[in-house]
Amino acid sequence: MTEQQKRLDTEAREWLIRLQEAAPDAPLKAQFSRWLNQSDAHKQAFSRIDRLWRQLGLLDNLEALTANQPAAKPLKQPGVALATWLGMAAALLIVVLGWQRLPFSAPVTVAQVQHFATPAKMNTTLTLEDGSQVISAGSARFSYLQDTQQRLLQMHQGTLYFDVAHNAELPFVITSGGSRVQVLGTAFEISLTHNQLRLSVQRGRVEMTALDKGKVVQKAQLTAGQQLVADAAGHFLGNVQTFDSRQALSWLQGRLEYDGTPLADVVQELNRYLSQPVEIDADNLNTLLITASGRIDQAEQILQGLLLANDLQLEKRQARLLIKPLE
Amino acid sequence: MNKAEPCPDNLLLNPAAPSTSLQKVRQTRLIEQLYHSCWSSLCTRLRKLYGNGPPDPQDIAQDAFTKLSQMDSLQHVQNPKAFLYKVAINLGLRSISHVIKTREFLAEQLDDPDVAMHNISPESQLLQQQQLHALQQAMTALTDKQRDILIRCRIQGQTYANIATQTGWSLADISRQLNSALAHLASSQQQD
Repeated sequence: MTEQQKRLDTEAREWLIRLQEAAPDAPLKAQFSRWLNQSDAHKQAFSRIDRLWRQLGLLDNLEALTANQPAAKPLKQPGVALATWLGMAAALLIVVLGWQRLPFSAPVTVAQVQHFATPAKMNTTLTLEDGSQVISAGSARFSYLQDTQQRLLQMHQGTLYFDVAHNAELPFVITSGGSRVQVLGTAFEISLTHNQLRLSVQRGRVEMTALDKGKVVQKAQLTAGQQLVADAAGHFLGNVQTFDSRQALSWLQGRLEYDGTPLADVVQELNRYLSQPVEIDADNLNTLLITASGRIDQAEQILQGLLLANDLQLEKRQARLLIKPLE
Repeated sequence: MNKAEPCPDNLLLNPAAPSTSLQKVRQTRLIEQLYHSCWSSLCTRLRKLYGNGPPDPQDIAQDAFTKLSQMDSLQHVQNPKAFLYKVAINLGLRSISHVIKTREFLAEQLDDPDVAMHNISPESQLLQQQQLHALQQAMTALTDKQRDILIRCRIQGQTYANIATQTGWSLADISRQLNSALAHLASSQQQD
């Protein structure tokens, strides 16, 4: 094969890959057409690689090849404009003071928002393009955008554990529940409910600042093993608390462990893994202390066990499942 | 549907069948057997690859059986079950609009209607047998990641953005992996 043929084969392959990305738009079509019609050699090179591409659908072992593919998921979420990201109010600022060095990859040059939706009833590990790892506890939704200045993650729902790849020149910014979290590289969990954001630091030192119209109104330093809760507007709820990271982050190991944990917290976590979420019917049950443990795929059994041990029952009311005292 | 029996891998029709009518009877019998043994697993696989539709996976599977029954002869098919899956998977891909649009554009550019849609037939399979065998062999040398991306893109018809969303891999990485995989597969064809 001549050098020219090799070059054309490479170009043809690159064109095929570009054209498979999605339905090609008019400018791309025109560009491709210009390339293709330069010579017969161009057409032959493209025909060769396209034939191979089509033959991949004729392999005898398609059944075996597709056996382990994950199930198709509809992922039609609305896009997030860059202006939306930049216009978000910074109610809470967290600055990492210390971190551990972690590998990272070079930033891409073309910014593109990626939307993530993870399935319920299981943990899902995702690696972002900068090398940061995000682990979701059950169903979670977030969007991610990496540009030349920062890494932006908008959290819409759920609980996520972050192991952020250190990159001093590319801050990692998380917006969630009206709060803004900025890190350079560390490991922590953010749990989002309808009215609260809870930050739990597993590694590194973090300074958390609540801002109101740009002015610092609250400031706290968190180190590994410390936790702080803020409301939807970013105001701190109480002081920095210590937490048992082994127990609180046991879901990362596929387990749920509770030792004197309020029922409200237990239910919130169990709901990530239950087929149907449950609610607490009586306010006085929220603070009932629960001791239980099990694997995340045994969430239903953990629920049944704690109901039995605490004289509670489940009542189905229309489409809701309510926890109430045994009558 | 009937209780699933093991799918037959090798229901080779006798190429030396004495008459066309007898051959047709055997072919009908083969399709019936495939239907009873593979219907359920085929629908499950199609649902996994292309979701709940529309089109409904059962409709795709039904179309695949219809297509098989309309073929003049399946006598060249050594593995009817594999052939059924190929037909069904390619029908499944036809429901993905961006795949269709790209194929139609390329067919127009290359002035070749075959590029638009894969008209699978036992005869065309036979003609490409050697190349397909080499391609299948070459696939085994790909890394798991390359194979996964290739299947998602070529067989499941996922866009790179979908793949990135579901796996966390960057768009640039997906393109790179795909490029390496295709380069390797292309070299297997040239050596053949």
